Amino acid sequence: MNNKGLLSPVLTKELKQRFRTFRGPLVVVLYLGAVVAITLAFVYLSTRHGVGTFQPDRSRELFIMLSMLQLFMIAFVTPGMSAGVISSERERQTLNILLTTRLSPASIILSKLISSLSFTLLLVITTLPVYAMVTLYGGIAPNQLAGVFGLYFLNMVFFGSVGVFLSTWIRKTAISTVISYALIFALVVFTFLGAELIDQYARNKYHMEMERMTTEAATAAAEKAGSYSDAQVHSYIMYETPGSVWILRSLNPVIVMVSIFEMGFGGEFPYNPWKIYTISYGVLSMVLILVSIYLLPPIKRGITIWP
Amino acid sequence: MIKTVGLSKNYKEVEALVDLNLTIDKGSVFGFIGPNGAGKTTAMSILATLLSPSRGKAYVGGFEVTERPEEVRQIIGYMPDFFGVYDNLKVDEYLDFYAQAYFVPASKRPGLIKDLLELVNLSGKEGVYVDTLSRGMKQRLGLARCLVHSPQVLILDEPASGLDPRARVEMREILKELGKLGKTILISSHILHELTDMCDTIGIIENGRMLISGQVKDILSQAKGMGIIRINLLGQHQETSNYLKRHQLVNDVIRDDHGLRVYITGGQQENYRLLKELVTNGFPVTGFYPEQEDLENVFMKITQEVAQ
Repeated sequence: MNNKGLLSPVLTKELKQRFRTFRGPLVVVLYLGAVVAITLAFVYLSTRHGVGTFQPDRSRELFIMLSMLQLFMIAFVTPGMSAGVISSERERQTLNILLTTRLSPASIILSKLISSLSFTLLLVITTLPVYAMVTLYGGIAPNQLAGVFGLYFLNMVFFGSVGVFLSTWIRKTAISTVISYALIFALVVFTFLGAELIDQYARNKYHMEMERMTTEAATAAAEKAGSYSDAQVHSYIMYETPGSVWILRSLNPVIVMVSIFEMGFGGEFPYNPWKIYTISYGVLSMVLILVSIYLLPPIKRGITIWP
Repeated sequence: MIKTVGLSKNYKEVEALVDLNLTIDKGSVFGFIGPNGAGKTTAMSILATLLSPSRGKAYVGGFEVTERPEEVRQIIGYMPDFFGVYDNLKVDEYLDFYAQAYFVPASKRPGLIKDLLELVNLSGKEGVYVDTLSRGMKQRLGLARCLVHSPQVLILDEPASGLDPRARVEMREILKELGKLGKTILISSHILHELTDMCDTIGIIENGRMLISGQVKDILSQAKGMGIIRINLLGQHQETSNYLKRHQLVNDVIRDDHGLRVYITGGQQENYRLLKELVTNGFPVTGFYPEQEDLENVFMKITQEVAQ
């Protein structure tokens, strides 16, 4: 078999190294055990005072909780797996040898990214039976389930791309890992806080404007005997959340996850946040991967995807 | 097979390599000698497509290293001075991985790995995890790794560094075998005798500059024209040392607890002439005899002389 493809032998080697040790299966067993325990505990607590039936709305709550738990797991595990893929080769003094082989930088970066995502993907896949158990009781639409897994996959690729980029750019694994976590944390916090601050500012401005208009209308009515105040008319001018708030909310993985369950966080989205989320993080991931491919070779000759 | 023209590399203000002009013919074994930090690794890294030169050009097999790195990588086998191995990977898997990285067909790989392990005396170690091998074994495995794609050129940066005497001899024997196979080898070391019996040409580099290069026999004959004289004195050590340093036959004088060590150019006649002059000038000489010196020290004196 000639491996002159985009996915290099690096992927096979990495998978072999990663899954050969006892640590890998142990982490899977522990994680799955924890998820199953939480799920069963939730089912038990929901049914022990009733007649032994499990309501669909409780199933929905469990599904949401499980989905959030997995999202946090992905945010926690993926950077840890990807932020050392290149820098650890550098630290182990194997990168130079790898770079003198015929493998293209693109195949090295993509193989490293896929292998680093493989473990997180395995953790998510192993929880599918738990999801099957939860959805058994109803309350969850199939498109919601697909949406949750789509979001997982997109987040894994994006978080992985951040880690791979930082690992290529920064020489030390410890530093690139810390920065990866900091960036992902900042992304979640700043998109949430940014949206809330802009929203609050816009609301304050709206109320002040309403107050000013009401005062002006009342004054005009008082000056002109026999006329009617416009104050009542003004009260029908509704507050509109600025577009920037919706965009920021569309970039927050937690808010987008919540939007899948149609809980209407911060009001109903005026459009599908998925489009903005997918396009933004899809493009950003691609840019990070391309920059990593450019940065990897010691002699820069542009980006070549095929070896 | 290897050619550099005015090759230079600067790291900010530091000149790591200055105007290196080198030609290594096909099938030649070239020894790159110099102390640590002389610029050997920089030159080799440029030839291995791992570093861009600041100025000049480097060609391997007719391909310019910065313009055609893919072609260069196909014809070189590079072994860095320090390299690591992967965890949780067995010896045969390690070689198989690199064979795949050079697109060696799957059908050829098992036989190739067996032959390579035999060449580097690691037969029977196929199933052993590479991170558990001794340093010498890892070095030999590294050499086998360089050969998986049957390169025409081997660039070996201090392949015997850190090895015990037995492992050094084994490594030297393997390299001799490779030389006989017609590979063009560029090998570096800071230990002269390690290279003299396996290289046909050598070059001495110091502070980024090539001081001298040529056929081993020519350079050794130059080295043999130099001797060391031990001079014992009753007193006047400083005055004698100053006098000798100004003498045309003397290259260097080192004062130690036992007297003076004088590096002198020439043979018996020159020794006699120097002794006669010292006695005539009234220096209290009590001993004057040639001292055995290993080739390396004499060699370093030559390089010092050339550099001056």
